[in-house]
Amino acid sequence: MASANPTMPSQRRRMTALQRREAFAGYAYISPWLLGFLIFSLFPFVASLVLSLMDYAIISPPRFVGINNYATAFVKDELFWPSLGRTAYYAIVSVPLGIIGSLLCALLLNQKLYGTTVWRTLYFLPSLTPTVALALLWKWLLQPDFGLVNYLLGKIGIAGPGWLGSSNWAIPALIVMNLWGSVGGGRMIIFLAGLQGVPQELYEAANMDGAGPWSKFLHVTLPMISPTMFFNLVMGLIGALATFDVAYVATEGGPNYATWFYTLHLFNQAFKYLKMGYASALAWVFTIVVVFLTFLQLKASDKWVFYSGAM
Amino acid sequence: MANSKLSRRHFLAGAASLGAGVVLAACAPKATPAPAAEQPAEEPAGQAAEQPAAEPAAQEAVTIRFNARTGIQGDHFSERARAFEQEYPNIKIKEEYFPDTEYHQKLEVMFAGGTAADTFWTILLSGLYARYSIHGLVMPIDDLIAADNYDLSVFYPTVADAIKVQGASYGLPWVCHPGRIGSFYNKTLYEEAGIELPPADGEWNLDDLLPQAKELTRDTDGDGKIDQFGFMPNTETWGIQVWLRSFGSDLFSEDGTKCIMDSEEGMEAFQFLYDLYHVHKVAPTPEQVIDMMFETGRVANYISGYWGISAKARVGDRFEMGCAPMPKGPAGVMGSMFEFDPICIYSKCQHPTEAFEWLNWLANQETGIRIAEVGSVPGARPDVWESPRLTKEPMHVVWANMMANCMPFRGPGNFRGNEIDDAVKQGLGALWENKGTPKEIVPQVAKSVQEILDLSAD
Repeated sequence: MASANPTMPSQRRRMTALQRREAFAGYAYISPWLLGFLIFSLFPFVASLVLSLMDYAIISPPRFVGINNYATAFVKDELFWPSLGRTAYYAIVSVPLGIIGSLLCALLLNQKLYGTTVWRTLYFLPSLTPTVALALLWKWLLQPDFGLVNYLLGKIGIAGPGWLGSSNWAIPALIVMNLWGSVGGGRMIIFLAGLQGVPQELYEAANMDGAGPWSKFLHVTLPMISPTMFFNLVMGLIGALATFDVAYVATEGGPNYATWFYTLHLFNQAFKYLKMGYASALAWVFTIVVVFLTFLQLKASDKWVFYSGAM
Repeated sequence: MANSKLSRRHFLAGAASLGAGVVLAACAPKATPAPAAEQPAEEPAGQAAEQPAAEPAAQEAVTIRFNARTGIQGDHFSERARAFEQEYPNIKIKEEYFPDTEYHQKLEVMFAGGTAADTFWTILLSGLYARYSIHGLVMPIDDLIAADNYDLSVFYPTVADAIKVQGASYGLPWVCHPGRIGSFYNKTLYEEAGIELPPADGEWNLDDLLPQAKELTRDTDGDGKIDQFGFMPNTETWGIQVWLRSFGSDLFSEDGTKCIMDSEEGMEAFQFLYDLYHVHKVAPTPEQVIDMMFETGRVANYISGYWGISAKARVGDRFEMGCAPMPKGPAGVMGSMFEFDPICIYSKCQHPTEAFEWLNWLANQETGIRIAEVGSVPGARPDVWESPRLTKEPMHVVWANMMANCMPFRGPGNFRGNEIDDAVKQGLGALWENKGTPKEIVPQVAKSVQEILDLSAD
């Protein structure tokens, strides 16, 4: 590198007063973000790592305990592994369903039909519903005896389950609630943008080759929107693993710990039981899991994500 | 602009100032604006004996900050703060209210930063009042009580013990109640079924309850599903605790170090509840429970706290509701438990005398009556519960009688109320869901609770 650009060091020394002023002005412009990042992101990030090695109850001074908090999580905490398992179950089911649902909605709304704008708005509306309102609405809809869902299931001869009150059905119920609120949301909009970015000439060429709708979808649309799908997959998985609000509001982790997700466990340890050091250790375990899974997705993306710019 | 030179030092200083400004702006607690001064609803004659005379207005005003929750309680505190400032012109109350769900988190962060308000509201059951106290965040007020000749006998007798943590008093009671022990019933359904109403004097027991509950449980549309349940017990952790007391058991031993919910009497209590759900099927299981079942006529009788009276407004003219003490258990008594919300002084408060005046004001008769009038529970004094302004409501009279005979508070010895609450609530979920019998599930829950009780109080 040095031999490729031997003049760089001397150029730096010869920076004019104007360039220096411009550089400082540049730093001044980015300083709010930079300071914000340092104070509100990097510092808590590092602090949480330090606190994960402490016994810290917020209201009393921290005490160094080494890796005890990590050992407690892996060995002693009877809720740690089950909460991780529940979170994985939720993510494995909800992420593919969410992506498929959003893609289908986007495909429907990408048709040049009359009133498309109105339909897009209608599909997007549920994603604007606040979590608390969504939870209250679905608690009524999923009420086993007089809720609409079981009433409709009863009409076709299916005895509906207890949903949110049943430890077997609580997570499926939360998945349904989540899908209702997210299928037509931001993920669908991103798919829609991806679909509209597919060059029409590729479809024209496929038509000339006699390709049917399914072939065009499989061999043109999917490869062309694979970066969009990859993005939605990564973000969707992170979001699903971090799911918290709907369980916090609708079930409070119950019944019988059925929806006691990992982040809910973490939150309760930190803010309800005042075990901030232990919660920090849980947060770091979670971070490592998320980073690892994202890394795996990045590695696997070489096999199926197609970037048209790399042609 | 073109001529101005920005040195590295000036740049760094400017950036630091800007950053500090951003941090301070972000960290500063957002105070909820107090409403315009309202006319206080005082009882001058009643207050005269209990309140110190107003101090001369010559000295400089002292500002006392106060933290509490938003909502009905925040509005109430604002109203009382304006009345206080009229009575004590030299003390200004600066209120900072936060939403319930994040209130204690906010308070704890402010403790950590040393910026908590001079005075604050907290709760007893979670154990936070005690935990804050033993960690030196709350100022002991025994000296202030003595210096002010403050008469603790104006409160219910159990208060003097309840406000003490490890021998010292840390707060005054703002409101109190005797636990989740009210049997709220749909009078119209009872009368239509020709069933005797639950007696207001509490002279009934579980043998009386069960036939009533069976009679009032109905499939009104004949679709094979129950549309109207006869009874709904309270299965919150602290609702379970008073239920256990009716059977002669409790959640904790007297010193709070042992979990005794799986004692012989305790197991009887759980068996009775289990049978209500799964044998007699007169109570809606958690699967079947939905908000406002009582108000919509789907439950004929349910157990709740004093706040259940507020259902009257929601019921409107749909039916007539009544209230009685919950039935006595096999122990021959109705379980109850004195619960109160303390108001405290922060240990770093610079004006403890003035802060104590404010606490005193919040624990006085008028405040205790006003908070009940706006829909919460009353103050912790007999002269509040017996006030004609509250006894005009017949359901309040039932509660006033229960309050007079209330059993004392008993919590975990290590003050880990929140952890125990979750362990009991989640663990017993399996019982209500019929995932096992009481013999299978209750000992497991008791073991979880004991493991928490074995932790230190840190």
